[in-house]
Amino acid sequence: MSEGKGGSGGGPGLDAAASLDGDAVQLSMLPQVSATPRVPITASQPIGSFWRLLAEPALADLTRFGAAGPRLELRGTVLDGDGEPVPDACLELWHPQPAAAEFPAWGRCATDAAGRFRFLTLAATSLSVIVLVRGLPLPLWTRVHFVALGDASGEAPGEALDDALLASLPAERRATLLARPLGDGAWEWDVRLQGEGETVFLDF
Amino acid sequence: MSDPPARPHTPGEPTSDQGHFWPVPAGAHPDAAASTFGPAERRLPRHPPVATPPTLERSGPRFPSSHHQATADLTRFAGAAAPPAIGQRILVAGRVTDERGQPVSGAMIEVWQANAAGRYHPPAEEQDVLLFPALDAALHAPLDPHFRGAGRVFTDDDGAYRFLTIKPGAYPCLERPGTWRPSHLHVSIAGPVWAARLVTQLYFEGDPLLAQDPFYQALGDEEARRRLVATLVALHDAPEHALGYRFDVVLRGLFATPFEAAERGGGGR
Repeated sequence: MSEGKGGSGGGPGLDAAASLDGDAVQLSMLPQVSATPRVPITASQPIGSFWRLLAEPALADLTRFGAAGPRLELRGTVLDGDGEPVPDACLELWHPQPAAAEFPAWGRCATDAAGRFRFLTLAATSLSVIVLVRGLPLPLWTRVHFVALGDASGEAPGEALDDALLASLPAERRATLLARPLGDGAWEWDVRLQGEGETVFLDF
Repeated sequence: MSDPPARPHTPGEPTSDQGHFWPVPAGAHPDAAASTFGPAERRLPRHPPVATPPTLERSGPRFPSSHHQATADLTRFAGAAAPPAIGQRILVAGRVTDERGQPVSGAMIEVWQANAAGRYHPPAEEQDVLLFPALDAALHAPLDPHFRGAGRVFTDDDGAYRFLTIKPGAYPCLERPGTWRPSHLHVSIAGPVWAARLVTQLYFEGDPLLAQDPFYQALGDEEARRRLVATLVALHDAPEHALGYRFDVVLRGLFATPFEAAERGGGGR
C-alpha cells in the first residue's frame, strides 16, 4: 500500500496541484485521461452525522435569489421501518434544468428532530430527489410528482399516466411518488425508508 | 425534458442510444449485508430499487460561484488574523473523472472531518446536541477553537481539486464499541450527473486502524477498499508547505452519448 495506487490509471507521482488562497504554492497537476474504456468507480460510504457541519438552512429555499414564478412548498417527514421519524437525514432536490442567476435549481434540507423537511421552490410537475441517511451505504434516488388530482368524479390523474415510470408501477407503489396537494402551492410528501408504504427508490 | 423511453430497461443494458449508465460492478460499493449495524437495520429499504431509464438523471445540478462560496483552506476557519488550526497540515489534491476517464468539471466537493485530536466540532444547533448527545459527549478528545472541519471546493475544467486541512485524529467507533475509526475525511461529490452522486470517505495510507474499521471493511473488494486510501505524495514545488495526499475519484458515467452510439451503429459495447 505504500508505493502508490498502481493499477487503475494514476501514476505514482503527484505532479500536482495547488494554489490556495494566500499561499504561494503552485503545483501543476498533469492530466491523466485513462486510455482504458472503463475505470473502476470510487466506492460509496455512509454519510454519518457530521455533514451538518456543512448544513446551510438557506439551501432549502430555492427562491432565495428572487426567482419569479408560482411557488411550490414541499414538506414531509422521513420515516424508518418502524414508522419512527429519521432525524438525521439529508434530502437533496433538483429541478432538471440549468441553474440561473436567480434560481439555483438545486437545494438541500436536513431533517429536524421530528424527521421533517421543508423546501421552498418554484412550481414543477416533478422533481428529482436524493435521500442520504446515516447508516446507509448508498444514497437513495427517487422522484416526487406533483399531479393535480382528478375531480370528485374519480378521474385518473392525467399527468401521471404520461410518465413511464409512474405508469409502470402498481398503484400502491406509484402513490409513494405522488405528493398530496395542501392548497396554496403547498404539497406534502413523506419518505418511508422501509416497511409499509416504502417509497419507490430508483436504479438507473 | 424529453419523453422517457417506454421500453423496459435492465440496468446497464444498452437499450437505447440516448445514453445509459454502466451497471455498477459487484463489490464496488459496501455490501448491504455488511452495513446493517447501527440504525441501518430499520432504514435499509426492503424493496430492490426500481430499474428505470435515466430520463432526467443523466444531467444534474450546477453550482455557480455566485450561489456557493468555496472554502479551500480548512486551517483558517477562524479568519486570517486568528491562529491556524492545530495539527499536521495536509494538502489533499486529485482529479474527479468518470468511468471513461473524462474529467468531471464543476462538481461540488464537500469535506468534513474531526480535528487533529479526533473530535468533531460541536453541532451548531442546540437541537443536534439533544439529538446526538453520544456523538459529542462520548468523545474525550479536546476541541480546537480554530478548527471547524468543513470545506467546499469545486472541480476545475480538468476535474482537479485541492484543499488544505489538517490530518484528522482517530476516534472511538460508536457503532462498534471497543474499536476506533481510522483517520478519515468525509467526502461528498455532487455534480453534473445526478445519478453519479457520491458520498464516500477518504482514508490515509498505512493506517493500522483500517483493519478493524467496520465502514472500510464493509467493502468486500480489496481494490475497492484501496481506492479509498489517499496516497502520500511529494509536493514538488513546496515540499515544506504541507504533507501531500492524492485522492482521485471516479464517478459513474454514461454508457454512450448519442454521437458515440451512432458511430458504433447504435449498439453497445
